Amino acid sequence: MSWHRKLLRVNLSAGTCTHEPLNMEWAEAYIGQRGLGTKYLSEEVDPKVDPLSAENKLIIATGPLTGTAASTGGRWSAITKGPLTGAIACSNSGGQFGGELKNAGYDMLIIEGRAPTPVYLHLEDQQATLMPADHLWGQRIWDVEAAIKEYHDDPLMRIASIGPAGEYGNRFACIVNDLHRAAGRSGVGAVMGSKNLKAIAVRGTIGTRVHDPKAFMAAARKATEALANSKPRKGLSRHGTISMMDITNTFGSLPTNNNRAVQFAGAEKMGAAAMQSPNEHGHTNLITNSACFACTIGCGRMSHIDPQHFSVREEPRYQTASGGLEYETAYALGSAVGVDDMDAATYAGFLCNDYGMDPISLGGSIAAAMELFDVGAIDETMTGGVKLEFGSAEALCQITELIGKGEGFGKEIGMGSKLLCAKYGRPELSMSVKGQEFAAYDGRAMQGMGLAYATSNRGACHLRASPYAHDFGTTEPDEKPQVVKESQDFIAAIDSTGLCLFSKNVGLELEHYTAQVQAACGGTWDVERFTTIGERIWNMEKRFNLAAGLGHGDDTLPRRILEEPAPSGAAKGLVNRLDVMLPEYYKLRGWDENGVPTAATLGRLGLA
Amino acid sequence: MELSVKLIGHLLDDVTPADATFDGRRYVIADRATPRDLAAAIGLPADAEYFVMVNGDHVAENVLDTHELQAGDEVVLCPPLKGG
Repeated sequence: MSWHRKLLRVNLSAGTCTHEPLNMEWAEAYIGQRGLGTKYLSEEVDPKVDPLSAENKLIIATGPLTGTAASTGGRWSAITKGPLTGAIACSNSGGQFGGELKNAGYDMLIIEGRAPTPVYLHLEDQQATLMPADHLWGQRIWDVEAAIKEYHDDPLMRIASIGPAGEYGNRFACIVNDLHRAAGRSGVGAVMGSKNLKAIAVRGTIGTRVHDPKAFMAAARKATEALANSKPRKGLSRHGTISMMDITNTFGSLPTNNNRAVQFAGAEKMGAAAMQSPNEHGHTNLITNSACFACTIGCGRMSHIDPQHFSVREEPRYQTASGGLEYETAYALGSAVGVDDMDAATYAGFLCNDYGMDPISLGGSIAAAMELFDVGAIDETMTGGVKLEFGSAEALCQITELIGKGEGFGKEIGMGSKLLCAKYGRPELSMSVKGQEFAAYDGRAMQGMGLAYATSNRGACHLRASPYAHDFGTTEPDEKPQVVKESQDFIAAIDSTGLCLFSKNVGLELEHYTAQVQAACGGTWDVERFTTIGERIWNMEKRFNLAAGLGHGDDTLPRRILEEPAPSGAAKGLVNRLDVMLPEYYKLRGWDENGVPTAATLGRLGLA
Repeated sequence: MELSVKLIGHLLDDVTPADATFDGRRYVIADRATPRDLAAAIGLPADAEYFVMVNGDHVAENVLDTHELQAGDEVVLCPPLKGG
């Protein structure tokens, strides 16, 4: 059994850390990580709670395969009620932190209450201590990691922390671990900040036992071999996710200038080839790739900004190698804001990692602010002199720093695009669903992705469904509901195992996951059980949202995607056909016409 | 007939011979060839997955073996990556 059967409850109001047995019945029904963490949250937190109040809880959850030798087995999730959306938030990260937490003897952390003064949580082989963090409050993430490691004299300690953005309540603040990996979406970092919890520092040498070591190693080897032999895996290792840039730009699904356009003239300067090519000074942005705990893909990019670039010329702090652009950041800090300066986008990405912000929502919110600026709803007197013009690399860098610090107009953008656009009388300019900004796919050329955004329980997200191949095959909406529903279910299950979703995208079949879970946990695991659990998780999340006050009207898309035809590409002249797809999707889910799961559906899934 | 062909992403690694360049280069193929015919002619393996744009317009997957290409067409073949 690859569980320690142990969770740690941290009550920050009382200053206590208490061990509790993990509910193994729930682990059987929800696997772990996303599923199990959401089950605990649903049982313990009133869905109507203010996300930034002491009554909300923050759950840090591993999966049964986290910390094992399974390829990509380093994932962990932060589950809470999200301040960006008011919906369920479940944000998944890689790096080394998750494996270390599991190997320190913890399956899950439940963090509740609010500390009277800033603290950090120190964990070492099932010993938990709350440490004062007044001296760390206000510090950026890279300094926090260094200070904690130095204090404990342990360079191998793994740390997840928040930056200034999470402290001031930036609604898209994230939790950053290992300097440049992040539980990025939905504002989980703001929840951590509201609890006066600056960091979680962990060191683990206990290890993780599996139920049947021999069978587990055989299953893990089979999965690793499948990845090793996969062409898409080779492409992802070599080029990173940023290779998607050429593809969506060609197809006409690359959101540009706040989705005014779907193809970007500067895409070539922001793609994989540009990242690997020397600039006019002979400097190359990409240094190498990097991998998370136990990962055999290595899609991460390590980048270095040209020291002669305007952004870092007088900023030696950022003249270092760190996590570079992935496709989502290249979109959000590139085409979304019309910027084709790779080093400027890389700099803004470094700031996101250092101040603790989700670059997708940051870029989406800046893009919305740029359109507000363009239509005259805001001007330079309101932005502190920053000319928020589409295409301005200087403005991108300036405003990102202000958002990170929570200064001036930066603090207003830190509310997220939905509140920002509503405040200035143009709510339709927020390219978001349930308040969370779009990822890097336009929902007109990619009709299935549009449906996936509209129905995602955590707001617009590219990681909650996988309609990619189907969307690139056709813009006809007929089969999209089935593709979206099925992929939402299996992704919910994968997100609960401790493995990375990208492993499915580049070579693994569902049988690879069930074989590894079975060998690690015991019992009988087949694809039907696995996907049924995924469906159960999806419905549990939906039920949380309904109880929080979200409804049918929140399963929608911005007017631009529904009413303004795409100007070019595969969807030239088309809008998203949510009107056709959503009713069919509800039917397939066993929900009524308002998107509410029926009693029969809840009963079938064991949720009644 | 002559048209231009561009391959994107790892399709460049799949084509034979491996040193062939398809960055909008001119290519001669039989009249009335389809995108599937073109993919085979330039050496993409039969199981290669791709979507096709012709002159900036998408050619749906279900007509890749019936859509007739025209002289002068600009054809782009892309791998359908899954997420990023």
